[in-house]
Amino acid sequence: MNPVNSSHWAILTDVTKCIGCESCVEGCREANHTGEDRPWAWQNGVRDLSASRWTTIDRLPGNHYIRRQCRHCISPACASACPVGALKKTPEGPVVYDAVKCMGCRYCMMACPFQIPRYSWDSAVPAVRKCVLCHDRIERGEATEPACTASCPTEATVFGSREELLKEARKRIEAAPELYRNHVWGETEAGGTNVLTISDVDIPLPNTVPTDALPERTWAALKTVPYAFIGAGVGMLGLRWIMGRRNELREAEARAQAARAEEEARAAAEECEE
Amino acid sequence: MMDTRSARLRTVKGALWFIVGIAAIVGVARFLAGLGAVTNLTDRTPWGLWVGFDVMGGVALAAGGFVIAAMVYVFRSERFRPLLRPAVLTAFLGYMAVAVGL
Repeated sequence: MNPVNSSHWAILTDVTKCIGCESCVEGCREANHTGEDRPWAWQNGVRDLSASRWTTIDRLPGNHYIRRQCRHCISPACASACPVGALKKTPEGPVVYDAVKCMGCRYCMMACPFQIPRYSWDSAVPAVRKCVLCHDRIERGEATEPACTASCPTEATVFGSREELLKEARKRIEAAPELYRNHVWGETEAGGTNVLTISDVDIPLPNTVPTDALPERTWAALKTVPYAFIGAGVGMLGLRWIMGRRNELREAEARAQAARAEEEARAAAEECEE
Repeated sequence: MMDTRSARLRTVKGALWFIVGIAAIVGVARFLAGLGAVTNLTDRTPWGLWVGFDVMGGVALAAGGFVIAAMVYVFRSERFRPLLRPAVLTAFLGYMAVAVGL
């Protein structure tokens, strides 16, 4: 099956096959015109993800190379947090970005449990930068798979449909259980992601990565917003009416009292005259 | 008496204009060198003090406007009506600061 026509594009990275050549990084840089790496002062070296490096390879002791990129969560926290809908989960699978809509609030960077999105801090018109699974290029027909998987010389990272790649991952683990850890990274993390990894070492993930989908947690609170909004509005209108009515009654009472006092004064004056 | 007061006023005005001048320079630098250069924000701390101070200052400032508006319009307390316009203006400026600072 051609993965471009399947509903869920995915990437499977096999850490045991990766030789750390960074062809994927260079392929991504060329295809997405991310520009040269600048030595951003705050990074763990120039190899860390940045606005100019959408995928990178983490080097673990013992020559283990672990490719890091946006994992394209099935239920992405970044798209859920984005107040203007600049980040969007496409039906095909990739989480894509629209720089025109983006207002640069960086909510996505705070929301992402994998800490992936990066910001072009040195630009006058800054944008959020992250892997988009080459969605735009594939949609335009310029490519049939992402630049990273296309440029991998050892097929350590491959493109396909999520269902097929999950099966493939399970098959590889079963074929060599002494080599692989019995875990497919991305199968359940953060509610499941479209980027899967199998490995012979544990893959260090930030401790912010949950086992369930984050947007479902926020939705539990956010779905009550319309009711809270209308409820508070109605409550305040009611309060306004009550206070207005109370003021009215108080004024009427004061007027009546004044009238009575006037009446009494006039009566007293008349009595005096008599 | 009159002279010392206007002299003091001039000092305060000078100080305020000085701050505006610095802000203008920083504002120009932001469009020349980008947000990172003027805020020292990074990919590790995408919000940092910048948003912390902005939200604390701006939104808290706007809360005063809400309270005064609620006093006048919801609780119908005419006693606070003279404060209404400046309070709402300050609240608006607070939110403007949030939006611009973002």
